[in-house]
Amino acid sequence: MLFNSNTYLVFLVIVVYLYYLFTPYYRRLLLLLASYIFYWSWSIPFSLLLVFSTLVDYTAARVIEAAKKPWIRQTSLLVSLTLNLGLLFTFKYADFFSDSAFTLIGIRPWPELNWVLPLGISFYTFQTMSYTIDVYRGAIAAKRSILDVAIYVCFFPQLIAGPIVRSDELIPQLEARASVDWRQIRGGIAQILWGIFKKVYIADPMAHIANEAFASPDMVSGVGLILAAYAFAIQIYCDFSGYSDVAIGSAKLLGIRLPQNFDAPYLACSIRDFWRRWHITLSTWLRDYLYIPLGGNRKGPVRTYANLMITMLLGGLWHGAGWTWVIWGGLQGFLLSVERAMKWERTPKNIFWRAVRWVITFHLICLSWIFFRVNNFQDAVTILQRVGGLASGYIPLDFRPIAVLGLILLIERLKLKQGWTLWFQEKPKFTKWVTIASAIALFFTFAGASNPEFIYFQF
Amino acid sequence: MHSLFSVNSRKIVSQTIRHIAVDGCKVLLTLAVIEGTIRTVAPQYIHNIFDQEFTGGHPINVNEDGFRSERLPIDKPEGEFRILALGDSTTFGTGVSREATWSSQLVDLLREQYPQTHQLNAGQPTRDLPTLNKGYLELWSRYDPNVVILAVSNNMVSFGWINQDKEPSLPTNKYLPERASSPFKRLTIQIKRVYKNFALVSWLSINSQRIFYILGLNNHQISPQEPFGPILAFGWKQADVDPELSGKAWVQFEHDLAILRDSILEDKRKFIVVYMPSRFMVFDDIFDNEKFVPRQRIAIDPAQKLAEICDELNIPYLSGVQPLQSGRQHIAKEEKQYDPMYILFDYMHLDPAGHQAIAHALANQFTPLAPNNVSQSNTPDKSRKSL
Repeated sequence: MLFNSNTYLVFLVIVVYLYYLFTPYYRRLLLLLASYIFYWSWSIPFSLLLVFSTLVDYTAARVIEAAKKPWIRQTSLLVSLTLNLGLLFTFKYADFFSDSAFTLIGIRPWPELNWVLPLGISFYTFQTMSYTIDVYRGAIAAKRSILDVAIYVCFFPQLIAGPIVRSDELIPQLEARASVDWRQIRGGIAQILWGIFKKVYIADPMAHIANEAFASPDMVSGVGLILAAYAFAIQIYCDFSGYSDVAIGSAKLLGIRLPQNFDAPYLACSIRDFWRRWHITLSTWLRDYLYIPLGGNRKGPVRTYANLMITMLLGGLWHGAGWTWVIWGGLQGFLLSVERAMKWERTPKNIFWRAVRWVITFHLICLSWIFFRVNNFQDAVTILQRVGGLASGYIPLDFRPIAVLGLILLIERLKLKQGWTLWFQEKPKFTKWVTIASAIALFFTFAGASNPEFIYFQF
Repeated sequence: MHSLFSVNSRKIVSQTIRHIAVDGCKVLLTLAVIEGTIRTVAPQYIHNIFDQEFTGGHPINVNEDGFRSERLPIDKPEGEFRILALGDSTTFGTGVSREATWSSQLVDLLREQYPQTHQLNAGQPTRDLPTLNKGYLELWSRYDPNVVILAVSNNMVSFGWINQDKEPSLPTNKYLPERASSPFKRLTIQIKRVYKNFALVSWLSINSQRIFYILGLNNHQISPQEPFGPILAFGWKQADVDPELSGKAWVQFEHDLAILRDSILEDKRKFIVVYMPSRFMVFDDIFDNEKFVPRQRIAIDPAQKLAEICDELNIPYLSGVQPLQSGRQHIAKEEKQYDPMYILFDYMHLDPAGHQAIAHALANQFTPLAPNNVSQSNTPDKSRKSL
């Protein structure tokens, strides 16, 4: 059941309606059932992994909290992390490491599994791990109710592709006796419409341009490949942030606030600034559970750079089991380290230098997206060679990405999304009719040309 | 024991029912007003019904022998002149009535001088040359046509290439009246038909498609593995498609056309090829390219290419480009009206006036006094009036 489908539209309306009819206890049961139905629409067998993760982390957290001896607490945490990461490794990375070993040393440590990647596994694994780690750190208390933990693991709006939520952000909201808050519901609808618009009308048209160029880069001119990189930069942003908007908007309809995942990332004037605006819930997760435990910036410059590299390399690997993702992560780590070493992290006050820094940052991000998008390393080399040599190509140039990019930057600079949401919240009558008209229009859109897949589903 | 429903649930339900009733009526009323407005202002949207039994709102009426034309006995009466129209949906007449198809209009024109002229319209959507050849050899040649006219659309080049390794199967009649197996299925068909009859549905569907093309959400890219669609015939430039693919598809087409020609000439019948061009190649107006086909990606002019092939194979050839251009000019001049010559939001299928233009141009291929004498020139006789 995809967010950009009529089925989801109907599913969401039914769930929201029943949610407000029920008392808080049954609301939680309803949310759990709805979340599993949502997942079952993709796969029933793989939902057992959700059950497994829930049981493991619920039990581990309870044992950690109840245990007096440190070794019991440590063992419980270790068991939880091993099982969670073991699942992720088996389904996502086993073939990658096996293939890599075979390429490097000619030996395959284990046979190829060729297993299907369970939808959302990277997201809910990180989420459940953060819960157990937080209980271990004493930052939160272990939940008595397994129902709360189960919903936290599989809450349908953010189950497949985030935002990655911390337990102390979500569970207290489940316990609250939320009554119908029409203002929040209208805000949710506004955000859903905004997200769908970005996905269907911006990301998908750009996908056609990017897909063609990245499928056969040797047929596209150097300038055409630069435009294709812009197109992909727009596609991935509008696709993923569009998904996050629908997720956050859907949760708002249930009176639940999820954390913001994007904050105008292409307005960033440094790579560090970019990571504060891009996939915020992942970057803060990596900061809190990887970078800081590694020592962060507290152990001298060399360790800081090493920590940045490790964090971003693993961040790259989190996105996908492939060397191009590792290179993408490595490139991000390298750029962050260089920026830190050169003290280029702060945004210049002078408008000229700010513009220069913006241009450099944006193009460095686009450069890294090339590694993120290519089918193999050789294609990335071809692209860089053709861009560097301004090679001529067989395909006519398509300049639409520049216009769309300009539009996005303008919208974000003027904060039109916030304006739209506020306007929508404050105008109940308009909201009702805009919603009905949008539902009719979206019905035809969904039945028409939209690409059903979101990019971040594959992670 | 927890209670299931919250205290205000009864209030929420009653409010919902009231809102749905009131707002539902408002929505229905609005839709009715919009429907009426579209029917008055843009009646062309009413005729956009395409399904198993209707094409452009016209009943399909394919006869039991599989022809979209009158039923003829296999044994030809003496003195009767028969034309066999071969082709795909452009011959079948997608979007127009049976009487408006070019083959039907051609017969009407020839009957003015030769009342014993009849036609068999064997065109059906998605047919390629090997299928038409098989149909000709095993089914249609028995009707002893005097002239066989093949209308070539750009789709045929693509289908011939995609199906080159497949054994052609005898054409099936997809348009026999559907026998609904259950009352539920019958009801579903009825609902579908009523739904498709709304001009608003057609208006929304077509205009959302227009927006998709403007935004680039819909485009003309073809699959490198299955290059389905008319665009392949244009030598379409696409990064992930072999630049020589189009040329190879045309070579395959020429090979298939030679086989069909041999089958027809072996029976000592006349054979003419007519090209059904795409709208954006015939006319230059922006409205004639409403699906925004990027012309800079086109490397081949199919009309020219087909002329060369027909010249090579010594087949009389008529391009539809000039007749359609003349047809539009004629209507604008004589009737003071604009006629797109193509059906609504379609660059492949002709409207009745487009079919008429082709019919007139073909009629000019027959010498005035004897329909058996078909002009053997490879280009249309420009000295005659097209319409």
